[in-house]
Amino acid sequence: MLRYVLKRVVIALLTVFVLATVTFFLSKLLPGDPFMNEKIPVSVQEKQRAYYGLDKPVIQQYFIYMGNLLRGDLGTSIKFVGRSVRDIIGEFFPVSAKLGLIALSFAEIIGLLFGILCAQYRNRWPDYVLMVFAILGIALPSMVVGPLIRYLFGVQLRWLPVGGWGKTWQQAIMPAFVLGLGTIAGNTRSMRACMLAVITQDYVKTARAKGMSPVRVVLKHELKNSLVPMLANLGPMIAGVLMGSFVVEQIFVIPGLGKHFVNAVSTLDYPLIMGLTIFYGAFLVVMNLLVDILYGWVDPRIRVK
Amino acid sequence: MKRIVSLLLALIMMMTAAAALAEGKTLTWARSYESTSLDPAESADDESNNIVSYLTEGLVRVVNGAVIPGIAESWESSEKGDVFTFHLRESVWSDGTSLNAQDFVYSFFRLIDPEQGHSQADSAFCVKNAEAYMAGEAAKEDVGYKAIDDYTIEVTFASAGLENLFLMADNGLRPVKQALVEELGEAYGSDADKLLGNGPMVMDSWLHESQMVLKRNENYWNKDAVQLEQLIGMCNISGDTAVEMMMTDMIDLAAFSDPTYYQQLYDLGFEGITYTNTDQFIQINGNGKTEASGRFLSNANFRRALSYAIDRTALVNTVMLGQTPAYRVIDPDAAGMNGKFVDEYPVETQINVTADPAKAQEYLAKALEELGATAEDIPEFSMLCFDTQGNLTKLQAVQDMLLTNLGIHCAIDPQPIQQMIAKVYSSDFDFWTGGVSIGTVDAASPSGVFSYWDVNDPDALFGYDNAEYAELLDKAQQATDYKTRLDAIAAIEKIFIDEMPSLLLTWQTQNVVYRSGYTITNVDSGFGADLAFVQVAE
Amino acid sequence: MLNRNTCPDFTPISPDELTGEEMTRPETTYFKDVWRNLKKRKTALASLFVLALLVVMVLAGPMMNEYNYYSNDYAAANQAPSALHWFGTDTLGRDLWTRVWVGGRVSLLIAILATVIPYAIGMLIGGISGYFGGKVDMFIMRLIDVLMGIPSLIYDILLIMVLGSGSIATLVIAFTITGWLGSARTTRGLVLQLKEREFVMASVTLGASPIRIILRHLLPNTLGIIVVGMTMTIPSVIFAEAFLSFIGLGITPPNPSWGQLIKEASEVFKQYPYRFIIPCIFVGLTMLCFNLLGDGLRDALDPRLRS
Repeated sequence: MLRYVLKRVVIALLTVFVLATVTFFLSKLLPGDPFMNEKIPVSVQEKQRAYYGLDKPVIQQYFIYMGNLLRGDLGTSIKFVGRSVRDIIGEFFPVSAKLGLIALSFAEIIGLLFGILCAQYRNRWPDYVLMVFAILGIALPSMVVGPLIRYLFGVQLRWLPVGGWGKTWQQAIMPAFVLGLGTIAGNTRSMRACMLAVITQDYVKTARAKGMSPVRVVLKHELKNSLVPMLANLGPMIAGVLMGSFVVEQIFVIPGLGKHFVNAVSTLDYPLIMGLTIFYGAFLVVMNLLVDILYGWVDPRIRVK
Repeated sequence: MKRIVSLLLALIMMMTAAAALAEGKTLTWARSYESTSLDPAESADDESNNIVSYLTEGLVRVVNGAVIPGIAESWESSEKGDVFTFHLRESVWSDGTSLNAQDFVYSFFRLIDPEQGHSQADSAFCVKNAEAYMAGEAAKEDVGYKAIDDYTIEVTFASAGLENLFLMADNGLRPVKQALVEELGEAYGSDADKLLGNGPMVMDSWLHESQMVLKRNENYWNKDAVQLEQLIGMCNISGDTAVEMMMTDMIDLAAFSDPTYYQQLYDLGFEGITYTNTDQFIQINGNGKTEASGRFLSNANFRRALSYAIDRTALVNTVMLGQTPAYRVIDPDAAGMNGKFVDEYPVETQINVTADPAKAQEYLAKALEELGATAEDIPEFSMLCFDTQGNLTKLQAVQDMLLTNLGIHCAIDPQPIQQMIAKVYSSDFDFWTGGVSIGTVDAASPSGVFSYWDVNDPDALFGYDNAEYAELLDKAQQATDYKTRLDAIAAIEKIFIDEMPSLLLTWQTQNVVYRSGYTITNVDSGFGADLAFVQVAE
Repeated sequence: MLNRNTCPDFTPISPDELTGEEMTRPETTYFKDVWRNLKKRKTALASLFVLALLVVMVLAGPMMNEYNYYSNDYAAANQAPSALHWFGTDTLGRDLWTRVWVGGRVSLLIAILATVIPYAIGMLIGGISGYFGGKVDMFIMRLIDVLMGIPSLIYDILLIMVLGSGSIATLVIAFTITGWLGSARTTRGLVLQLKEREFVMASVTLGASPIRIILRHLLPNTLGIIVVGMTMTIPSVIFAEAFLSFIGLGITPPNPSWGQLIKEASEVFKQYPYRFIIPCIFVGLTMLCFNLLGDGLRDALDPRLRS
């Protein structure tokens, strides 16, 4: 096991390195550069490019960047002048992660619960009610649901603050709900499908025939086995949710990391693009490693090789 | 358990109530995005510029269009008007250390440091040889910015001109402290403890993308003029979010340009002030994206046809809400000799505010005749914009107007912002929608509306080639009396209306909406209401 | 004693002609079977009918009144649904009935193409990865990690550069580049579990080729779960199309799509709620139908769930 984990860590580092390299060159292929600005004279723009080393050949820029990266230096943002990329991630990631964790924890539990209910009452009314809920949860985009509940609970009823972060715990309720809504809905449907695939297996029938109580059958045999397909995208999903959401952050005025993933690319803030990609990539790789280990635990037939 | 919870809740509520009382005169306002840098040499956007102007003070300040003393208590100019001598008052930085002429000279040369490439360097280019120094073509001694003694600065400008004094108030020329800059390097201005000012406010705390707290600077030379004790900026709030936060008492002041938002607040009894800040254009690329399109777009009659095809009133009623159809270039708020420019210099021919399809067709026919072309030769034009709903809707309206009234086809080309700018620089567009700030002094300023079509400006982007226009612009900028400058502006405006180098659509106004009890004493068309000097009712 | 070699009634067949796997039923009956079972499910049939109706409407709907989807009518801006404009009008006075149906063409097409194609690719790659395991699996999974890690906006902008804007093909490619990753991971997880089952072992013993095992045995067994995942991505594809159109990768305005109509309306939903409710209903309806159809298909595909 230890050898396996060690091997995976080496592979993980290699993966992040490949990711960084590919992203570096792809981002240099994007048209434009961060200093093009019609309000700044071209002569000044050229000085800026020279200061940030963007006038050098791309391959040279790559080696400079990688050299700095090996020393743990992610560079400084171009758009937010003088702010180190590490500071930016360090300041905004905890906010996104906290909100993401709140959203994920309740969304996962409720989603799985709903899915189990749907599967147990397949094609009866609880199944249909939850299906309609799930479809609403997915078909209504957060850019509509967010402002809607913000107006309802924030302005009309005044139960919750309209937005902001870090002052009261109530500020987290609406954004966490909107962020988790899609996950609840998605999990409800996926869990239902996964459960149905298990429910008719012989060992489940055997367990029932033995006279095992229905609750124990669900928990001991059905749940664990139907989790396998759910696990597959758990890693990317956790990574995605913890990195923040552009839309939710915008609607509820949350100083999270999500907006920077979009803005860094659209403003061509190369060091920030790289920093965020490497951070996200490393997170993703670690999550997927954990998932692979979990597979073996959930279903011993899937041996880690 | 329940009792403990309710006790705790009560305690928290008491504490927040106490905090609210202790705050004193506070104004909480909505900032639409985060400042990119509060280093005067790097603050490139409005939300950075306004904070820099609260935290620092230059030689002079501009208040409601007039220059008033800042750190310079007085000044005199040479007869020709190109050399100014500023006499500085004895003042201190916000940390209490003294501030003198050397600090200003250091800050000036740091701004144009050829090694650094500070984005705001062009603030200094009005000074003699500053641009050449930055390009490595002039020695430091030849640059026209010198300290005569500890409290006297002599500035020699590149040429005489009425606005030189105004330009001395520019953010880029505000002082930075050498010791701190050298300690922090490029991190200067990136955090609350990484900057030092001498302005009416000091930075107390700065949670990026969230909240910025400014407090009154007790060491400010004119601190009695500052009534607010605390100024809190809440970040990333605009539009609907700002409206709802105003309604729920989370913020006291926000700026809007769309009546969909501000009208709700006026209806609820909020107060507000309005000022014109932007001219909205559909820019025309005179060179064209392709040779085929440039052939038409460089023709004045063709551009006139385009202008007559546009229904500016319909635009204002549907997609450009709250704006005014522009019947001339200079907006109605602009100052003239004694009163308003628009009253003193009326225009003979006005820009059409509604579409005039007959005239549009007439000019199109003229253009086709001049070019020896037929309607079939007109290519499909490309309309460049960046990705906002407002831009897309506006261009769809213009697209339909050109199709209906002239039979001209256009394709909309939305792009992310930097890709859009890259396309502008590589002349890869026929039309481009973008607002142009009306300029800090007037239309003829280096940053004013008219500068965009100056053929002598290496940074001009729209391929408009008219020597007379450029000459008049030089004349306005170098005029030493106000009348000559205004006359030249009027002459440029006449050419503009006649030739339509770009399609002027509307004047956009900004509404600063606030809770009653505050009075705004100074508004800048560039960065909005000056909040440092807001007056507060007792 | 019977002499095997001289038996007059039997001739020995050579081992080459022995293909154990082909003893299954003819291939067509599998789908016939699925169809027969699907027909039994009323909800699935009803959704098929509604989907067909939607397709008819997006084709014929715009012809039912005299408006087109692009002409502005400033006098009729922002009208609520009425006898003249059945779904009301937008900011520029364009008829929303027409725009909703024209927009539906793009959105329905995208909803199908941009889910089926990426999922098909993802299933195949995921199946290979899961079945072969070991180095192949490691390589494919790490490749997916890398591709997931690159910010999708970078792909999108590069695609605009390479392919230009304004076509559905570009959109489908944009969705495919990132869309197959998730389904590949799901399929791989399922295959890891399935390949240890007895029926796979049986096939291996009978000498079936790996590709045959993956295509005939493993992937059909993952379909039930994959179909659900596929239907769940429909709305996100429809909304993502609106975002891509914004940066010039999608359908250029004035051509509408449901996603764009909703995005446009979401900024003024307090003033004109009908403008986002109507397209949202159609997105929801499309998804509901695909979902029910997916469920029906799932049940039809899985013999054990037939009652």
